[in-house]
Amino acid sequence: MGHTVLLVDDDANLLAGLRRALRNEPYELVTALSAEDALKILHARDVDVVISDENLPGITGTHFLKRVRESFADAVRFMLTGAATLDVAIDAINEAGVSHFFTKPCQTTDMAMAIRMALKQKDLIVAAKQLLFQLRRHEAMMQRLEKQHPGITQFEEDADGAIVIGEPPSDYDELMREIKKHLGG
Amino acid sequence: MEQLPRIAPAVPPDELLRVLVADDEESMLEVFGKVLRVPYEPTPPARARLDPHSTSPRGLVTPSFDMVFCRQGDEAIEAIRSGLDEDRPFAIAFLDVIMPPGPDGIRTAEQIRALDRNVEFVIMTGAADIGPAQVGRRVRPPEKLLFVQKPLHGAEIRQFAMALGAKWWTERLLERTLRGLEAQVAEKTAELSKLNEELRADRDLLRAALERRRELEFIVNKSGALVFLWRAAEGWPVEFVSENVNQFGYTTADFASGNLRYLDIIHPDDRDSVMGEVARYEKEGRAEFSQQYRIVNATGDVRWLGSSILVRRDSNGNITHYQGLASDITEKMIRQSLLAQRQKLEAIGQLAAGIAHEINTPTQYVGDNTRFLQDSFAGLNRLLSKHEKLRQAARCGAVDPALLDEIDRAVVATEVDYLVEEIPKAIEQSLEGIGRITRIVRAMKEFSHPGAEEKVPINLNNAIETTLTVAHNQLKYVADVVTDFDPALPPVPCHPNEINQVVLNLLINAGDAIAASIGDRPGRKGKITVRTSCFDDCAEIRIADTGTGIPDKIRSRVFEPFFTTKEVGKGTGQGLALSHTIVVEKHGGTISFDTEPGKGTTFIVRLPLAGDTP
Repeated sequence: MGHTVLLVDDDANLLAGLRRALRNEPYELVTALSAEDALKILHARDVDVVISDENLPGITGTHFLKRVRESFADAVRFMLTGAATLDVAIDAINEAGVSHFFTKPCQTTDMAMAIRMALKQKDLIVAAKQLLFQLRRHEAMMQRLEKQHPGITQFEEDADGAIVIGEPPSDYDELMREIKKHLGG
Repeated sequence: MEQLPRIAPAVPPDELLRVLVADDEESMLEVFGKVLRVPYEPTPPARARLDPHSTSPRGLVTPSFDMVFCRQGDEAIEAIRSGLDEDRPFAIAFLDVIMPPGPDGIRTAEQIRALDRNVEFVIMTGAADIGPAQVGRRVRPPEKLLFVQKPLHGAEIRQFAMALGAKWWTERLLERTLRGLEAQVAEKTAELSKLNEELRADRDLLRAALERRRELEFIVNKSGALVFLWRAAEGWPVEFVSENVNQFGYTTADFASGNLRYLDIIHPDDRDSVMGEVARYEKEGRAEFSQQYRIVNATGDVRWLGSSILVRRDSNGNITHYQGLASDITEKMIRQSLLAQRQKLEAIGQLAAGIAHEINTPTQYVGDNTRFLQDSFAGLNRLLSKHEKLRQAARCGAVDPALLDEIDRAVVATEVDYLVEEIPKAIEQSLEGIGRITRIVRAMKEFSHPGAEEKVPINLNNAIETTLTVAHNQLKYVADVVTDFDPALPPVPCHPNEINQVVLNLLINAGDAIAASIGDRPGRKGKITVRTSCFDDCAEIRIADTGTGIPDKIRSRVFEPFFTTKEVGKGTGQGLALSHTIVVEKHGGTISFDTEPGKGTTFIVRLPLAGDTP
């Protein structure tokens, strides 16, 4: 499943430049010239990373990213600004929860790297969530099996820690069918 | 003939002398009546005796007397008393000694003397009545006493009466004259003492004035403010200067000698402008004016002087003198320029974030585009080398179809279509970005150029355009800026960096006022209109905003130093105060505003076109 990165800046040339710089990156790049347009895009589709300028028409980037955090918590937020003051940085971190703060001009490769890392982390989080979900399913299944076949989930270990497999139970074939069914085969 | 001094008329001209006669003998009284009441016909010898100076026979002697006859001493005393009461005193009293049964003549004389100290006594005695020594002892004073032996002849009586009457009258006259003289002396004395008093008062006033002058001189000399009086003549010769001129190394004598004139101490570069200003104020008919200029002190150091000058004119209205108060304002000028510098930095600091953004954004995409071009060129270069191979193969006449396939693949891999479309755009946008950076950097440089000491004529429209570029990023999110410049505006003599600062301050304030009025509503924008025009002999700049306006109660305070409505850290309240100083004091212009709460404010700056700059 492909990723989407949203760039917000009121300067069309800057967006064009970044689009060229990031053209070979493994995600779709969408751009917006205002916070308003950006919010429309966010409502319309999944966005993984939002990168915003601080100076936007009528609203600060911090304010905009704060709204993104409230409404689209999964989207990772970056700030890219030419007016990098300490106050702006502090607000961006504390209020908008940005994970990266870039100052113009920045090495676009650094930003590309940061985006990739963020996406990877996001993927990992998604994967971790899926694994956790699967684990819960398996545990539930084990409990059901234990109920139906007490002792089935128990096993012995020998002195070397190896699992001791005894004689197969008499109803082995039936049991395997049941397990396959549980695993959704 | 030797003339004797004439003291007074011998007898009163129109008043009869009074004569009292007391005698118990009726026959004696009759003699008196006959002798003294009968008009006296002067005989030449008698007249000559009476009036030795008279040479002409004029009737100047009144011979008759006002007679009162008494038969008793008491009667005589009473007559004297009533005569005094009526202010008709007697001149002579003829008293008989023996007047039974009443008091005798001596006793009567004693009592009369107690009442009347002037009357002349003639005591008439019989042969052995009383001794002269006794009479003289009892009746005082002796010089007003005669005593005669009876019988008396008529002629004797007349002579006594004449002589004593004249004596009495002369004494009265003398007395009156003395009294008059005394009164005159008293009057003169009073006048003199009054004059004396006045003189003393004048002297006190003079002394007080001198004292006051000494005090004033002390104060002036301690205050450091020079007091000058110079003539409206070539070079301004100094007629008076306070001693504290020594703070500049000069002495009052330098000026008094005429070797040094006021104009001589003014800095050569400032002389023309100082004289030009004075000429202008004269033409305007100003009675007083203030100036700031440099002087050169005795050691050659330059100091700034602030002077207030009063124009003195003669009855024809021609200027004769300038009276001046001048003080060393060098420290103030330094402080002011430091303050101005600080305020400028502050204003720029406020813009710094915007300016950084203005520079950094193009830098970002110029960098991105350049790297893109670098990558693109590498790809195109690879493609070119494959084409080179193809060209050589074609020249040899044998083109391997595999080579053509390879080129096709390379064209796709290099994204040639994309590059052909993108590269020109990347170049164009980069150039645009470089242009933006160049413009802002140039504007910053022009804006903050330290500027010359003298005013220079500048194109005000260009200067404002520069300042707008500097402030662009600060304003672009809150307001659209509209300019309406008068292209025919003549060059304006000014200190460009100072006027830039004024315009910047006004633009920032306009932006802040609009930001305050639109609050948190995004997407709303105000409007700032910057207009230039000619107004009379001034260049006028109007900066109008659609902001909050200035509330009534603070209108009078907006030009006060340190007055600010901005939150802490956003402004120090120096902007408008300094703008006021720059426009009014340094350029002789005006700064004012129209405002309507909720609608906006227009600041109006007027700068004289006919500057005093040579």
